[in-house]
Amino acid sequence: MTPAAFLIAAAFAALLRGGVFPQAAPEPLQAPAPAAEAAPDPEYGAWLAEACAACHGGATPGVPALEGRSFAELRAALEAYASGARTHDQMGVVARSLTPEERGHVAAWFAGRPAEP
Amino acid sequence: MSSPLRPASALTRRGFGKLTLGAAAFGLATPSLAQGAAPRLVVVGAGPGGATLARYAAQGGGLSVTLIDENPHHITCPFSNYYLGGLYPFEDLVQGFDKLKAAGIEIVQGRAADLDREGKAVILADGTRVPYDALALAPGIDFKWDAVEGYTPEIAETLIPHAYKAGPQTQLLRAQLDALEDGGTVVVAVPGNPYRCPPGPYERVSLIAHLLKSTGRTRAKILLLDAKSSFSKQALFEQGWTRHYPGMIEWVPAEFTGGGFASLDAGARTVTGLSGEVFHGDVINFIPPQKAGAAARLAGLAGEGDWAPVLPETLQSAHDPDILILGDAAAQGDMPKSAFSANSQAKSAAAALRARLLGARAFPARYLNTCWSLIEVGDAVKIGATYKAGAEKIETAEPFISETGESAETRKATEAEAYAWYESFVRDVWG
Repeated sequence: MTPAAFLIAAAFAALLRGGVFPQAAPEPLQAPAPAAEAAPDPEYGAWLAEACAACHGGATPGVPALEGRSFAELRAALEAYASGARTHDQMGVVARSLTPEERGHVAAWFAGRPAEP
Repeated sequence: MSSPLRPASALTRRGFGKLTLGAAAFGLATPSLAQGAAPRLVVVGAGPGGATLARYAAQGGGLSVTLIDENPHHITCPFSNYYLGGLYPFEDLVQGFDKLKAAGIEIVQGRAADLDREGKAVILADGTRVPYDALALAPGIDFKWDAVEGYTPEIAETLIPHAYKAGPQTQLLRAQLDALEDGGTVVVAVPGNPYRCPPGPYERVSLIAHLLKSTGRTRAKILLLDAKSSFSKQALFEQGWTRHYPGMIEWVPAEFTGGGFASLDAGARTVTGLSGEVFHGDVINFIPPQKAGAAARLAGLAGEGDWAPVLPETLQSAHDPDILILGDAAAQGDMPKSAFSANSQAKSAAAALRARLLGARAFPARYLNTCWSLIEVGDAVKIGATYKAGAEKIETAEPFISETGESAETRKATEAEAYAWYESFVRDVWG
């Protein structure tokens, strides 16, 4: 990543966490993120989100849309699926196939998308 | 392996000037890379693998993408069993290519008849050469017509449909089922592994039973002749059949069929197992043994085998790094031959291709599959897994499967999920 892109990503991450500067304290999540985690990388998140599109492609009754939901909500959901606190066959195996950093990347990407009408 | 090169004038006369301009100007199938043009990706097959690859590779620009298919649309195998069961309209299985065109993908209707790997061109059945810098082959399956005496493409189209490539045969089978009298027998014959959609035949039997039951024909019988001695989601299906269709479905495993089928008599409407046992059906759905679609067996890409081996990280052919092979045709390892798998493979293959050809950021391959099966309205089950690129093959990372003890609410939620997936998947693949 270029330095400029990194700064944009870091600022984006800070905004998502409700802060203004990258070093601002993040809001507490339902499942705490590991310490010293890299800033969310929405470009990487966009790649990870391609897999989600097979099922989460729109507002259908069986599978919820993810675009525009809060970073905290999405991240907490992924952590809960990964730990088994929340259960769903596909979401469990998908969440566990991601590292904690990757769960942050994909949550950041969906949080940054406009909600579907 | 290679066909003679055609002169540039022949190409333009065929109205292919636009497509082949860069190469035709040199009178050779010179890769466009060498001429500073956008690298040319040619994709054969506009099913779930090929169309997904074309869309995702075109995303972000920088590539010229051409998608070749024999048909002007694709009819999905997913949900074709729902149609057979009277639960889904046939028209909604038909996916057009207009949104792919709108995404800048050039659609060519034709059949890839030959492959010139040295000259890097696909040769269509009408002789047209389509040059490529990268080629992706996603032709799905072909049937082994020589495996069963008496079964031919003509018989499949008129009397004993396989209905295992969705299309007119799916409609023929439905018409035959609609005409079946109460007390009649339906035979569904299933091949040995590997074949397209492992739970597909068992969902089909379930939804044929649904059709018969919901039209008052509960004395009809379905004989499920199997080349195997076990099958995908077996405990779930068997529990569902007992629960919803008592006495209607009889599974006949390899022990009685002999592990395959020797012959078929379309006139007498009988199937003879390798065991010698003869089975009669008023309606017969014969699903033949399978191999990679013809395009993936051109120019030695499948070696001596039935399927074309690929590298697990990129889906590049094990025989040619400029060729990708996706979906059912690929020998990739642990993923089942399913539309979901093909869609998932295409995304990793597209990202890796853009990294190689355009220097785009590279990401690690990720693979996922889910196969939902509807047993009866309100009662669906699923099986799936995450996969990773191993050293030799795509390997299962973590699997899951529905449980026999699940609540009715869970089964209903799984059914809703299947419908939602199909709607979402169709948009993901064809736009």
